[in-house]
Amino acid sequence: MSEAGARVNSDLKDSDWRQIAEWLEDSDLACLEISGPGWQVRMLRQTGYRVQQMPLLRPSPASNVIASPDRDQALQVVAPHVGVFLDRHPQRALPMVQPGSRIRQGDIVCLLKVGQVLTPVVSPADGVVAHVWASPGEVVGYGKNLFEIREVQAVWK
Amino acid sequence: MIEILCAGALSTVQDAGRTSYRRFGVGTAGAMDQLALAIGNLLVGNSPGAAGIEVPVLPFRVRFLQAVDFAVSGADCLLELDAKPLLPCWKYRAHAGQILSLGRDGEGFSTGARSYLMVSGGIDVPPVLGSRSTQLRGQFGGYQGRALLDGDMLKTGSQDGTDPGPRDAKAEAGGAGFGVLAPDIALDANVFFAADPAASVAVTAVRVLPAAEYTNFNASSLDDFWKSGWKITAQSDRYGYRLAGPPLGLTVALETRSHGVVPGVIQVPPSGQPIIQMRDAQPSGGYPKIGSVIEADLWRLAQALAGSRLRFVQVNYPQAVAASKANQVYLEKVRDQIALYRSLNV
Repeated sequence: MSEAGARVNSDLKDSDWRQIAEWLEDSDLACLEISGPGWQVRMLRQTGYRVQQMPLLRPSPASNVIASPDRDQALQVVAPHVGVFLDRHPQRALPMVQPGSRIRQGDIVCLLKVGQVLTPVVSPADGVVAHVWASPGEVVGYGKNLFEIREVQAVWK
Repeated sequence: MIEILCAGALSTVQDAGRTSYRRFGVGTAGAMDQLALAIGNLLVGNSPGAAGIEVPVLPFRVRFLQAVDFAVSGADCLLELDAKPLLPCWKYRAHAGQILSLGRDGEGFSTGARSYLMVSGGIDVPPVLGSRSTQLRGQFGGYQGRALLDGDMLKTGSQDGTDPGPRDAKAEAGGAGFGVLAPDIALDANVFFAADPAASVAVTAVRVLPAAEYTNFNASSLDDFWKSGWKITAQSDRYGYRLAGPPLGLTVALETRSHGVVPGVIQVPPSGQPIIQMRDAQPSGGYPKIGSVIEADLWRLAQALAGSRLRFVQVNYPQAVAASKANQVYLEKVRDQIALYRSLNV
């Protein structure tokens, strides 16, 4: 573990990686990804933990999409950051999308409120909204599933 | 460059106003809703002194002749960019040739009375006496000292050191834009307005400080002043809001020499019907003053439509100062949070 830690270029020390590995061993997690400024690391549980340096992904838009492994043509749109989920703008009566809405890549599907600022969550693909997973006013964390999109025509890379 | 396709009526270029020349008899002019102006400037990344277009009558349409960031703050209405519906208080990127519409024929504002179109770099007209505001009475400042007309071409540009260059790269990346909560949602002044059983959507409550001649009015008039729902008559505009309600009378006839007055001052002429001085009012007047709408609530006045009603809520000086502070805190939060969002949104 200490050898693997020595090869990792990150802000964390070897002792930090060992501590994280210990915490993970006590949990049920099989994989943990941690990123920081200019680095991203994945820890996989095999026999003990293997630390793997990953190439830094391009930041959003790709980061708010997860391809569901078990549903072929469905995309989950996830929260790109923490915030209060709003299904409509505070000055608009109707929700931006509902289950069944046909949407296009780039359409704003909902808003996240952070303090006074309202940020857009945009659709990564053309498709149809199948499910809305969050409820208005709910505080959502980074990566929380917000929408499921089906009949996907194009995916943002 | 922006081309005015449909100017509506009385649309003017306004910024924060001329504040250093009142003692020479030059009124402030400037945006009626200073909060909306400030928020719009923050959204598009302008310095606080940048000018925008105040739109009091719909419909209003412009064509962008070059790419700019823009936002529409203040009153809400049907907003469309090339027929695509937009959100209020939201920063967008327009490409050259796109047409922005505020409202449609026959439809007015859904809430409020004045919208503000703010663009990155601000409206570039020559400053007069330190401000780009239009002084309609004196016919100077703004765009040729007058309200806008169909066909006017307005330059937008770098003002007060605002450089649109570096922001362009970020604007392209953040294509969907972002917004802020409007003041009527974000400001929590409800402690002053909640107690009124007669309060409704059509009644705007504003906080008022008693003015110098307050005690010269008779007791029943003072009672009427605080209790009435004063109607904003159709003869209300940027010069002043003429109110209709029970006539207010003095205990003893009073003659005062003309003296300086500021926006928000409520004068009572011999008719007994109060007039609230607004941004284009004369800087001096001689009528007795019964009260003054606090500076922090002038934007609420600006967003009260002609035909709707006003109610005055009495406050004291420390409360008025606290209200101004609350507005300031809100703007600082908006500024800091926008800066944080921009820095994270690579």
